[in-house]
Amino acid sequence: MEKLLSVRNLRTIFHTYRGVVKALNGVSFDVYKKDFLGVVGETGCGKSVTSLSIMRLIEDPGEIVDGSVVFEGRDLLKLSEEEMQKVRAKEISMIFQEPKMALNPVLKVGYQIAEAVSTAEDLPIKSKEVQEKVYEILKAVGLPDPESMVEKYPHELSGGMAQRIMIAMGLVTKPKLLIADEPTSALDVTIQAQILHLIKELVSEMGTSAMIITHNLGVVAEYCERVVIMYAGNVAEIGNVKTIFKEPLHPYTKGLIKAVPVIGTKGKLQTIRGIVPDLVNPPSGCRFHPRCDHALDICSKELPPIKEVEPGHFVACHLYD
Amino acid sequence: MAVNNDVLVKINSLKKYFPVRSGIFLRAKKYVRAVDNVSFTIKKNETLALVGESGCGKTTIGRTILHLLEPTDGEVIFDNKNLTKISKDELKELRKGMQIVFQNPYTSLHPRKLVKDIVGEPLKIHTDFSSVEILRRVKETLENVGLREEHMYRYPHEFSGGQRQRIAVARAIILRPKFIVLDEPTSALDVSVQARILNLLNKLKEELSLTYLFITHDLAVVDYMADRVAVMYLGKVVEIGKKDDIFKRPAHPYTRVLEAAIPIPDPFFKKERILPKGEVPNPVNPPKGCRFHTRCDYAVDKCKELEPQLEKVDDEHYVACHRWKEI
Repeated sequence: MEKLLSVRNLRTIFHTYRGVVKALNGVSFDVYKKDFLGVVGETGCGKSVTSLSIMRLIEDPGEIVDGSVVFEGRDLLKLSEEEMQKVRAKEISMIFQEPKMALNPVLKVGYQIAEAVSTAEDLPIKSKEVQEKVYEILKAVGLPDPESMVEKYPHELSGGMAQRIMIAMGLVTKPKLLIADEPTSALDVTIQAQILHLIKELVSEMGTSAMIITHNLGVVAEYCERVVIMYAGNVAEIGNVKTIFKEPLHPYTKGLIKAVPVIGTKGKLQTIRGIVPDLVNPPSGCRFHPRCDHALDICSKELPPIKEVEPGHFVACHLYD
Repeated sequence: MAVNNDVLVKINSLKKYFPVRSGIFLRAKKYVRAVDNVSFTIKKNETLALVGESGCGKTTIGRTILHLLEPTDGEVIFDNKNLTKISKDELKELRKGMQIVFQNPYTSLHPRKLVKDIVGEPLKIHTDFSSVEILRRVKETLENVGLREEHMYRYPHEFSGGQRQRIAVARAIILRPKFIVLDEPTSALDVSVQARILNLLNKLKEELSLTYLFITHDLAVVDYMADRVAVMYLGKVVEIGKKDDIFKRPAHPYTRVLEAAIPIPDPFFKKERILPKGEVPNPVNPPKGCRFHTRCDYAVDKCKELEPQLEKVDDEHYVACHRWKEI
């Protein structure tokens, strides 16, 4: 498969009054062309920071201190702000958890979508071409009656409709990659199913790759083809969804999958002992070692590199050295 | 009413309407019918799960049963006593037997009280135990939920989400209640922490012979925890039955939609592929007839006019749908 985006050794930190939070501790993974990739992990594992770092949306007191984000041959971390703006406008789109907070409350939704088109295509915002594209994408995201929809303000929309508008804004420029950060966590379950189906359908029609950030293993199991499992600022395991659920290798992945009840689970649920570490003072070596039942001496000393154990299946664990 | 020893909680035609006030005199012109004519029973020692989307009234039912909210109409019978007809003092006495654990352990614990005072407060209110006795019981209860004595002298902010939820559970069980409403107790927690809280709740249920009303929207958790399941839509129970009936033989179209919509964390799990239509209507103006008809693939004219009542499908399995036999 052809690579679209390669994240290598990405390190992002946040300066806080408590000290430096080492949020990303050398994250590496690839997104392929036409990929539908899930990035999953618990609170504070760095999944959102990863997506914001790719988009270079990390603001003070945060800082990307190392690594590269190569997108179609260019390292995004080395681009000028102006060049990066163009990437955000046309090539990588992002949608967020709270659609109503992401939309501008005082502008009509039609204008907000038109703005995205006109910036990306360098067309005047009032031109007929822009308007046509806006109508076309509104129909594509399943919003009937585009003529009246463009006149609405965000407060007139339900959460599901607002997220459809965000998807319209994200996909109207036909980007090469769509990053969705918990796109359905604020929505009801029936609406969540509609939105995830919609994203999947549209990106496959357009040949766009998608990266879905989520904490919900159900969303990964049902919608994603590949998955990146993150723990405390590191990638633990990468692979095909079915492989990861059937034959997880990393002790954390194993624990995570057994901790979630599925239909038909009987008896006691297995748990992972201990708690997620504080990233101001993360454990040395493998950050999972204090909670791991299989930890070796080396685990507390050296961070395990991520390696390919089978084609397409990567794991960062000393047990597989 | 006949005394039934198996039943701990019985609700009869329960209604809870919230006024929507508008205009300069703030007169209530409209009502949100959060719970509209709901009846069911919870047997001793069972876990009844209440599932549905946000706004369907599941949280309101939980609070109305405990009389944290006054019902608009209908009855709540707890331990053979009608809560709607008793005095305040009697209600206070009965409250010892019923407790609640809320969804968000970051907001349900007093931030400026020590854990020993949070967990000991129910004893202070309901008993005349000495402070030494209260401390002894707090310690014992904290051990029951997997916390230690040293945790008594800390504030809530010093704990993780899972530990805070343990504190909330400790507060709920310290009076040795018979019945606990669990209102999405693990929705704010990470999955590895959720597993531990679910295990704890099952352990306590056994040890203390508890009865649970488990409010949630996570079907895998329902399957793991519940004996029976009630599915709600816009203030109504649309289907109720034993867990296996609801999961293996769902009779209501909404139950099927809901089961299809909720993602199951198992890529090998085969399920029906139905994509839900439309959005949940505004509960101020619910659709006439069957409230689900606007989103239902099987709706006929009758569904738009006549409200379906719960009908018996099977032993303990009831559904409110005109067409359940055909579909």
